[in-house]
Amino acid sequence: MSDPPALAIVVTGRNDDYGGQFATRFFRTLTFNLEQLAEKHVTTEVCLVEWNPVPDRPLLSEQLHAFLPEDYHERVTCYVVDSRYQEVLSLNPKLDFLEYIAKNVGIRRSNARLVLATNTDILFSSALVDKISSGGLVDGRVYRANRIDLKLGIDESRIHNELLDNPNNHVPRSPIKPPLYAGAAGDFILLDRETFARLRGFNEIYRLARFGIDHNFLVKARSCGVSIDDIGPPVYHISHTTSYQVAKHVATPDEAAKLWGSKWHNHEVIYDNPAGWGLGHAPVIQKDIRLWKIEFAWTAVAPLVDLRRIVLPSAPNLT
Amino acid sequence: MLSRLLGLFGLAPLKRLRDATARADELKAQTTGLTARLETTRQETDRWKRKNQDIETRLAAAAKEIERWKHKHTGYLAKLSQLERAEKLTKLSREHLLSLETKLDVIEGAITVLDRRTRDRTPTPDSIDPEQTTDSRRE
Repeated sequence: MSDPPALAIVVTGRNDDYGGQFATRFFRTLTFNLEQLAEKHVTTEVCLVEWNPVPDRPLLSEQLHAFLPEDYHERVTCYVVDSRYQEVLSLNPKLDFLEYIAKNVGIRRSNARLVLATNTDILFSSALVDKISSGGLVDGRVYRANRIDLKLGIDESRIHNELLDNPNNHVPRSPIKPPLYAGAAGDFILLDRETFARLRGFNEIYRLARFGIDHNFLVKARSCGVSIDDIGPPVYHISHTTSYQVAKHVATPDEAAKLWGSKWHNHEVIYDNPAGWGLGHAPVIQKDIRLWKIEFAWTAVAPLVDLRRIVLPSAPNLT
Repeated sequence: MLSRLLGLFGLAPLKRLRDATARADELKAQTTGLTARLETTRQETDRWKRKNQDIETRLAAAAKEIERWKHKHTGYLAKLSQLERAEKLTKLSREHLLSLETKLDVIEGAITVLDRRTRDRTPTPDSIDPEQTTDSRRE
């Protein structure tokens, strides 16, 4: 049996053309990141969670395998989640993508020592890959990274480090600050798998919004005594029309509610996920060598309302 | 000899008389000086007595003031402690309020989705034969 990989990259998406040319952007980003990691000999697995797949469209997972260079095929595992989970878990009919439960599905099933929950449009800087490959990252600590937004209209088809590192291509943005190092946290949360499992992933109780669930995780981690640190080197973000930083200025309230849900008390109130977080009790069927289907089962579905799992940061956690 | 003889008659030589007179004048002057000094000292003593009384009065007032401030301080300390407690309670109440609001959000969300599911699974009035509705029977 081979050693587990050093790093798991957990991303989620579906073939819905989110932000325009979603699949192409994702495949290019992933290829770029995998190339960088391979150069530095960082053994990597990619967990793509295809949540609420779009009916009558090819699976994103299948497209990914078709696009990726063959060398990388064995590094990618796709989990296609039955759409009924979105239907029965959602507490907000306007929101059609429970992004963080999807990420939990991947986090729970990853095998690497370090797990990175990130997004499909996030590029790793070479300095970041150096840092990951250095072996200096410790367990029990959440690592965050500054996100640098690349200017809209940049040539995404020819991504290379010089282009990324060139300040002329950057949009100014406030740096992340202690104690939480919050700000676009959903784009980079790196933590060892054991601690991720101890914290039981992202909030699965407040299923009304995508907005702020990432920040909420940092509050939860800190409240549980897990330290948070800035990893140092940045990640780059390819801006698109549905990027929060762009769309928050132009989206109508209805569009915003559909994309992110409403604002909530994510800085003050945390959660205690049940033991079956990340659809841990769902039956999984292998469809292909690297493709798994998460089948629907009511036993895997958390109660619609479980108020005792909404807790304050100072309150003791349920066991 | 002459002095002794004059002494027999109760008389003294003139020089001695002059000396005695001068001595008496000198002692008189000394007495006057001492009397003046005594008066000054007496006045000074009275002044100091008054000053002392004044200081004693002020001391007593200060002691009273100290007592008053001590009480006030204790009162302030108690108030400060009350304020700190109130602040903690407010913070706690706020946290619980936010927690309750979050729980209400979840309950509202659940009601919304259940309502939607119920509506989706219940036939709409259009699909029900108007003849069979209560309202049409009434008519």
